[in-house]
Amino acid sequence: MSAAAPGPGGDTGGVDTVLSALADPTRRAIFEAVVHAGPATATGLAREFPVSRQAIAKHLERLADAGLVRSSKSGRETRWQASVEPLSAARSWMDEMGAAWDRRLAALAERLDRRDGTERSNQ
Amino acid sequence: MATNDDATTTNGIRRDIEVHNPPEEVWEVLVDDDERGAWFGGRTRLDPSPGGRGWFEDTDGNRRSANVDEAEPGRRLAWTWWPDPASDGEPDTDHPGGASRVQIDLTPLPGGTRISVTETPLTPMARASALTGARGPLVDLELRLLLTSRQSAVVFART
Repeated sequence: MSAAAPGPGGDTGGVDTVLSALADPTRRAIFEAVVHAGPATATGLAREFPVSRQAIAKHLERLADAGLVRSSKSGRETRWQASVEPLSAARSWMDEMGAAWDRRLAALAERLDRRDGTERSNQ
Repeated sequence: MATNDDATTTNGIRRDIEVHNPPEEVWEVLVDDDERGAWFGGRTRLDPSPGGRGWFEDTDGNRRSANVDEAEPGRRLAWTWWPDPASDGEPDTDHPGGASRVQIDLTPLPGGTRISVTETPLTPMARASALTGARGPLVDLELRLLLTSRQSAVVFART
């Protein structure tokens, strides 16, 4: 699933994968570690986290599916680097959806406020 | 005075607002089609019962089809919605219409109600356990896929 910018209809292609990939706290921490110290190997990351190298490798696969990390062969072991573009797409989606709900809730509150005022003046 | 707390959950967005009206009154303004259209900012119809269908239009005329997941009067209204390919005009087989789930929770407060809205994007092959495990009871998933060479791929998860 490619990471895509949100379209006019609120297209979430890729955004869902990014967000669910980052929902797991360990995976999120691994991603942050790759962002800050990459390129990294699964072995190197396993030294920093209380999980096995296999678990790290699985997490890296999920991150790679979401386009958040990419791999390159370097010597004996695969090296991983972070890609922030999918994060930007996810952030854009969240900002857009958040702004839309801010507008709707403000309008909802205003509408309710008018009903509230009418009721009070009728008491 | 309404306050607005916002937060970004790792799976979507959340916005909160507080109003002076009781939950029953807020509910009316959520489920009545004309009331909802007024605050939503576009025409909309929705059958406010589990499994009920509906749609929302924005000011650009883009339309989203909707399916109600939960409807507890005065407490929770939740639906899944997705872009209606017909309104976009262009077939887009690369990006199946992105579906997301909107959940509006009403919590009674002294003198009013807190309205909490979350919107979470859904994967086309959404699994109920992955999405709702942290949020509530598992529900049955019915997945329907429409794919033709000329039409957009429309995938939605009916929970």
